[in-house]
Amino acid sequence: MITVFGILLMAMIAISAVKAITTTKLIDSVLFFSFVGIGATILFALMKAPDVALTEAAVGTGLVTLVFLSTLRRTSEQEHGDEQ
Amino acid sequence: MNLSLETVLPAFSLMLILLGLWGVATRKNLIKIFISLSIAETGVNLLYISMTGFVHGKVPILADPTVTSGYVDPLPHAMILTSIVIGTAVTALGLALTARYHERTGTLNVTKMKELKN
Amino acid sequence: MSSKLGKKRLFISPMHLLWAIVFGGLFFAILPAISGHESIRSERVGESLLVQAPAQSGAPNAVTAVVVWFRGLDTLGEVSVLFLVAAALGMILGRGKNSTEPESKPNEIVAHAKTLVLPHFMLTGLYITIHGHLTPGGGFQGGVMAAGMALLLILAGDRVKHLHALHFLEGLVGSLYALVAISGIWFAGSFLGNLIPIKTEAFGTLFSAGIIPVLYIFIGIKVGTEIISIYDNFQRREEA
Repeated sequence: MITVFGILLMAMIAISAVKAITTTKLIDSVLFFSFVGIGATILFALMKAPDVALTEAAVGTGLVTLVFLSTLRRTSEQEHGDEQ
Repeated sequence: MNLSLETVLPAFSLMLILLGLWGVATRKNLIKIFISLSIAETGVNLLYISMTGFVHGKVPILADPTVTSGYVDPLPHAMILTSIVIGTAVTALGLALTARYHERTGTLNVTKMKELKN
Repeated sequence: MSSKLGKKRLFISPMHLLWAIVFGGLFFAILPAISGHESIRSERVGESLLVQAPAQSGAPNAVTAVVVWFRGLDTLGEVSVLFLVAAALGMILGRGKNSTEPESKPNEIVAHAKTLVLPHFMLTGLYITIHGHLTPGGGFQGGVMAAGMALLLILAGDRVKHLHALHFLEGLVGSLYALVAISGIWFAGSFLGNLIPIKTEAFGTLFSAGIIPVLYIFIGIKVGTEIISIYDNFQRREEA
């Protein structure tokens, strides 16, 4: 049961990672990257590492997404992410 | 071949690392490059945690100081805890330099950077 | 813009796929040697850490015992790296004036909910920091959660007014960490030695782990203040 759940989660993370790298809009890219972080958090919790899961949830997902969004706001005056 | 999490996770981590490296190599936007780098870092973290023998172990919080068997290996947890925090710091520093570069030149495209070419 | 740069380079050549397959094969060939599934379980470092952690540090959470007790010097270095990043961000981004009013009106829901959510952020961060040796979590996680309170206030339109007080608190706590670590040389015989005696009969209670909760409170305050200053630097605007 946990194996099936974990494999479904890994598929979700893989799709999110591919979308985060290949999508054209930068804001979508940042949100897909935060999906990768959330999935990794659940995987860490499944792997009996609650300390790492807490750190990934607070630092690796929340803070990094905030910093990416702040950078996007600072840099989005003239140019939008049309480069892939 | 038995399909358990312990056998699938190293392959999955390797896939995430290679995906991130591919993104670093082929993307042209600086923010995309940092996102790819963070994805590769997540893959490395998952690879380390997948080596703790978590299928038959318990969470390493001891209830009784005399019973110390049957827990997962706590050493990779402590290393990855450090790694996540340092990775966040590195990403924040890189993004600050990116924002500053964009204020100077107005572009985020790495193919248009001509400052170090002569 | 992309038309000038030519066609998209997506998947370039079959050679790259071949290299990926070769790399994957090498990876899986050396993976058993790295992960140590073949080594005897009692010879692994983690097993002896699990044996020594409760007796030496008094902390039930073995991860906390490794991070703060066995690798306390590393944690001091890690906090120093965070401090360096915060200082560098102040140099890179801090040129602009810190505008007191936000350029857009903050969200109504955020502005009204902040007083309701704020004590919960603080309490959760404090609990996770203090109980770092008993439950999952610790200074890093609790510090970031308590700093989330300040990030919420910044999102709701407030600004950090006493930046000097923030930097003073950060420096004070860092100095206290180093002071406690060095005073362990005199009073306990080693760097980061246990000044406060461990109560082995009260294993698993709040005041049983010596200096680990004290150090984790220092780490929590330091990480929290550094994250507030990093995020505040990202919010500064360049003067036009």
